[in-house]
Amino acid sequence: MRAFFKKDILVFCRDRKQVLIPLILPLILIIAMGFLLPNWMGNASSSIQVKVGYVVKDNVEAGLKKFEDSLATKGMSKDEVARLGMIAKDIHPTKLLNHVLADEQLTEMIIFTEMDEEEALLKLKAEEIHAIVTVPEGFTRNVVDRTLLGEGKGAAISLVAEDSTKEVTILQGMIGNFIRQLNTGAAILNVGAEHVKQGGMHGESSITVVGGMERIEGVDTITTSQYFTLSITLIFTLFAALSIASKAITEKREQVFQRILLSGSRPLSYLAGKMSSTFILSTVQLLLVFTVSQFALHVFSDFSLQFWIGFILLTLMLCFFIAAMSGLFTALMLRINADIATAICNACILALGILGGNFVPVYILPDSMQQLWEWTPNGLWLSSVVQWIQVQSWTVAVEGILGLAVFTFVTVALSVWIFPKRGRI
Amino acid sequence: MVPVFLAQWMKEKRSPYLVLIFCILSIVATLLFGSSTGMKIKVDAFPGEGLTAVEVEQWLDRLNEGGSFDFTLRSEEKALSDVKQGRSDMAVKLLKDDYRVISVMEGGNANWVQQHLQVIYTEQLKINAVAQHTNDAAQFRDSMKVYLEQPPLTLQSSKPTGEELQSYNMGLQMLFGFTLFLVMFTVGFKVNAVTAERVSGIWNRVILSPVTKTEMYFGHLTYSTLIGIFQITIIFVLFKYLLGYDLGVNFGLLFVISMLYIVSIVAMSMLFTGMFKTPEQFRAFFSSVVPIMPPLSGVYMPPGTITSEILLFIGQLFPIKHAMDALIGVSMYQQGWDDIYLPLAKLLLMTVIFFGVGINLVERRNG
Repeated sequence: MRAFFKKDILVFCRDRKQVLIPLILPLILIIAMGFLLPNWMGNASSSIQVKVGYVVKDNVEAGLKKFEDSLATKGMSKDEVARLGMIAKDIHPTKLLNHVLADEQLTEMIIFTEMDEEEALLKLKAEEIHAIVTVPEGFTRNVVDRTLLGEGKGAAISLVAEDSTKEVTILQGMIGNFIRQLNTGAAILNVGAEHVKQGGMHGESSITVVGGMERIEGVDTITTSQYFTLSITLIFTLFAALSIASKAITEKREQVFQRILLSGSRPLSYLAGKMSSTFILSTVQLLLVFTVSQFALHVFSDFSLQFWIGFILLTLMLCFFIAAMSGLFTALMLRINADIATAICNACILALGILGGNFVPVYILPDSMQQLWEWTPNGLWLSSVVQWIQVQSWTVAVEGILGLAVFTFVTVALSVWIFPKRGRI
Repeated sequence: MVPVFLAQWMKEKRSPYLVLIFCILSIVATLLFGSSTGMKIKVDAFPGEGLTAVEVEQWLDRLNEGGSFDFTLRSEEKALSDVKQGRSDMAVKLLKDDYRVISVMEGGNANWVQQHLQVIYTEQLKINAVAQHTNDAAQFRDSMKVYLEQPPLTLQSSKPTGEELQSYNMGLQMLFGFTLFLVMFTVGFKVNAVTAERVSGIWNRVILSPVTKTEMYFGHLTYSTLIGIFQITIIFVLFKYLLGYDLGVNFGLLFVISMLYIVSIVAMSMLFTGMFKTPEQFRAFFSSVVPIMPPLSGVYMPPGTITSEILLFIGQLFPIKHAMDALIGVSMYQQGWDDIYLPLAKLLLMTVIFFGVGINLVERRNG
């Protein structure tokens, strides 16, 4: 078997392109992603900037003036008119809107520029701005009427955009929230006035601050870059296992395999040679990628020795499984037509990659598929490592290792069973 | 050209498994992803101490009102263990007049959900506070509802043309993404027949025959193109007529885009063929390079997720990006020729460059 092991390592190493591709591609990807997009999969709201053209067609002063005039015609007393006028000046919506938009937290995210309508439409077409927010004519008057007197139909702020991109959705959400708050306030003011007992309108001050983020105790947060490093390296190692196995096609075509049989060696030691060489190569590959990403990008910083021991044990077990997979692939290549075998193997890796959360994070997947996550070997490893990063409890690690051992055992048994028997080749 | 083409077809007839496997895989993958994704963000919620079942129901109703979130009630253990195992990115604990967002993963949607909860809770608490001071709380709530049917302020979203601003159909994007992604494999492995024939000596024997070089290439490339188009057509037809996806009205345009995309993938595979000596090397390279193209081009993510200029530029280098742009434009926004000629032109340009360099490399290796 040792001769076969040496042969496979040599075959792999002589083909420099093939050694370098699975090693370098994940590194390039991880480094590119790490540098370019610290939060590439999350809602990195800090990196989003919504550029908005702000068109005001409304004349606030005139609106307020008209409102006061209309009060006078209704035969209200001078004091009453003055009081409502003051309130209207205080709450008039354009001011509130400006106030919301000028909020410091938001100015980083949203850039408002006041412009006239034509200019805004031109800029929208040229994609210089994401959306136009328009305050229509008679806006102040209508809103104040509806808010203070409960008359009229209110008014609508209009938002114009080409498509509903993420930026537009954020803007919609923001303005929507603002409108909601204002409407509720107005409703309470109007309806409350009828229902609330005398002197009972001081309720608002009693609202305490609610909400907050909470962490589960003893659980560390896993970062996107950690998840990404783990998942992308894993899928590349699986593809590397396939490429080692597909050397069997060359060996079948050039009748290396027949000559091996004629030499009197046991066919299964050929298979064992494939598996052991894959084990060594995948271990080197995984550890190298993790080491480089650790030292170049500090992906796994601040972890204890215990963490690293558990992590390496889990990874070694994964390498055993990957070795078994390459054995299974080899057996398939020898047993059936090489093209079909390659198609099956590729489809198998792709399916595992999708289900195991290697292409997209698993929480994006539908519920039914999430349940399958831990039933795929790569998903099991990923989930175990994620939990190991969060809580370093040995039960998690041992469960992961045992589960992977079962997968490895089944795969090895399957590949020995599929592997052509004596006299069948 | 015809004999070469027929030879490929005979091979296919004898073992059609490769095409079948990838067809089935792409249908299954799109079904699984497309069926549920939507744009709703799913959040698990569980009740904390001091909350009755009725109150929990009320809060959930209120939280789900907006339509962009889907809060579901789970047991505390289940919700927390899902968060711990990384299966969901957050859970919400409902308390009496208060809430907590529990999350262990960075990024994700936690901030969004937090914002949404904040608005709904503050509003509800304000109303509750006032209701305490009224004589008849139920009547107060009813009048509130009546008043809010005609609120002082509303938001109207529209396109510049005055049409309604549609929400983005993520399921459709996933359908296109997976179809284009998996068809790359079929086409690539078919073009690989060129390398396989060179290795097995068939290529040289055909060169000796009266068939010209151009015909040989044409035979192979037309065959790969047709197989690719065949796969895409089957999937689109299945989704349109069997599953009722709305692919827009312009089927002809969709067909043209798919065809140009397939031709560009054939050209890309030709380039790779020129870079490698054996079909195994080609496969190894192809299957490790192809899966990284869609994520780099942002195919699995809602538009606008990738903001880095450099990454956006890298995404431009792959045909899948332009084909996605054109397909989404035509089916979702009803765009016509004028709007999508740019992505199509880019696809054509890529095709020309890939073919030029690729065939040159193949010939150089031969000589």
